[in-house]
Amino acid sequence: MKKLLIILISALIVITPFFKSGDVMAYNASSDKYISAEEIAALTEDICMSIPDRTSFSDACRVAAERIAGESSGNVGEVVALSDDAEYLSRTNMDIEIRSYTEKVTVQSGFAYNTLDITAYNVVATPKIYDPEKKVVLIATDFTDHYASIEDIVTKGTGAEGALGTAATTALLIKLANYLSRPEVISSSPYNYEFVFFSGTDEGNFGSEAYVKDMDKEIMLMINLERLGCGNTYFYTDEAETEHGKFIKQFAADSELKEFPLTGRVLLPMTTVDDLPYSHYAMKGNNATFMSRDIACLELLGGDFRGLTDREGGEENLTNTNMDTFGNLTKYYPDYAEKLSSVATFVIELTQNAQLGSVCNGAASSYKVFTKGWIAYVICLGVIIILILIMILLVNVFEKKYPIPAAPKVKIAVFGKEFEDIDENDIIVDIKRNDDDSDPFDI
Amino acid sequence: MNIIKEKKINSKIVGFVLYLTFCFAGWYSSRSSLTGYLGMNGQFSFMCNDIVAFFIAGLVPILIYFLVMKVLTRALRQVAYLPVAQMEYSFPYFYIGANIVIGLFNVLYFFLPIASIWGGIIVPVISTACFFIWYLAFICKNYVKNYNWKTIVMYFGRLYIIIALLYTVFGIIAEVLL
Repeated sequence: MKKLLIILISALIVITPFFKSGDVMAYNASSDKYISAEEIAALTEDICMSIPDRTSFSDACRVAAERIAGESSGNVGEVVALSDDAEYLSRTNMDIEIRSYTEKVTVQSGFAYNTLDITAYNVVATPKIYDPEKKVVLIATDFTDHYASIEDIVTKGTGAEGALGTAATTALLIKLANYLSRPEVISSSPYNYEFVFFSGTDEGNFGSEAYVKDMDKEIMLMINLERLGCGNTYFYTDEAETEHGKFIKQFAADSELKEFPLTGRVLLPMTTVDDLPYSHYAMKGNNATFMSRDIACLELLGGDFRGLTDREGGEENLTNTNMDTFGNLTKYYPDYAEKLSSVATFVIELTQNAQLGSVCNGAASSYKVFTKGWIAYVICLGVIIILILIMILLVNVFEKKYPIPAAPKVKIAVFGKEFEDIDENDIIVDIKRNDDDSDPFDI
Repeated sequence: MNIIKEKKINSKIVGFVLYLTFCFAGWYSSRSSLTGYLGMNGQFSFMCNDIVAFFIAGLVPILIYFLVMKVLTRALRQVAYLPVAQMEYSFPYFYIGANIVIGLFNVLYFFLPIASIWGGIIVPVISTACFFIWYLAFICKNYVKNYNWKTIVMYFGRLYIIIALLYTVFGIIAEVLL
């Protein structure tokens, strides 16, 4: 018996390592930076200075898209940047396309409603080296700001260049695209890449909706870069645990990245992901569009989400205000470029990891049944039917067990009490005349 | 139960505790609404915090509660066999119980937001139904002659079921159509 036990325990010890889930090598935050903070800062400044107005659904959106795409005023060619470090998308290694899309909006004019067509632009960059055997990682950001007012859709401009809001992440994505599309990098990469600069995000994720309508590739993982460089850097994958979520959590274990807080998460009363009646701050970006289509997503988002409001983690909230200028970005968040440089390292190392492909199996779907409120209402209806049955049962039981006592009868004794059948509760009114010999029939 | 039977606590204090439990029960959805309408508007974001969300949550329910109770007690005062005064005094105690259960589930949603979708719909119906049954049992046992139990259960049971049905049917319509 003892021998058998020893053999069993030894066997367990030997085979246990084979059953352990695959360990993920955590990303090393202190490893060399692929993209320097100086490069990101120079390009952020260039974006803020050269295309401060990147308002969606305006001409400025097209001009900004052209500059990001490496075109200048419609002429394909190298953009002359303000500094040597401020390099825009490289056409040497990528095919770059500016895709326009048109939305219909209804605008009130006095008592009348007019339907207008408004147009905005996405920039899609695809590395020239494309292996059809490999899966596709899509990395995206919003490049537009709220610089100018747009009368058509009644939005008020801030007059600020959206430095923290979108310029910094646009710079980061340009740098990432240029790095990851290099032949020596992409040839050894386990995945294909696509880089998309969306517009119309704050207006309702119009850019990403237009993109997915015409999407001709199967996306393995969508990485969304949103307002990075301030406060903490959070990552968010889905509303329920997913394989890629677990993998990324392990991968980010030793880094400064924090998981977007689940506890106390404030739910916004609006829908951004299909079938989910609420959203939250990590679900407001373009990743929501891809989550709705069951694509595995990774949202990288900066800020401080300990309270109810969307705070950036500094003294002031800059995003979407007239304070979101390059000057204020460097004043309030002097280390923003360092943080973006770390995010770049994280994204590059994550998307170069061969294990990632095996864990990206789409968005979580196990929880989706719990997002359908009508099922809960049908359950309520069932509860109400049970209550009705209980009520009927109780009423019947009470009726039999505690009948209403019979009401007392009033009996008029004409011939005297002795001629009446008297019950316990009867009330007798004796009207017989008092003289003993009287005969009631003797008139 | 003696506290209720002997009316040991002033009804105003009971009313205030009821308000606090309304706050507890409605706090979770209140913080969402508050953030949705104020938190994303920079001007009033200073008001957007859990304390404000807590105390705002109970205001509308307590007003509706007192209004409905006033109308109901007036309407029922003429019914001879109903101990209206005792019913009015004891009802908040049971509502407090129901609110505490709903509030405790809110704490669960705090850690597991996805549970709030079904929980926010089902828990109030089940919790209030249970406490309402308990309330009717308490009233019948202590203040009503047993041959009137049937009438009490039928009358108030029907009232509760109509309200719950309206809530459910409107919910289904809103979910399917909107």
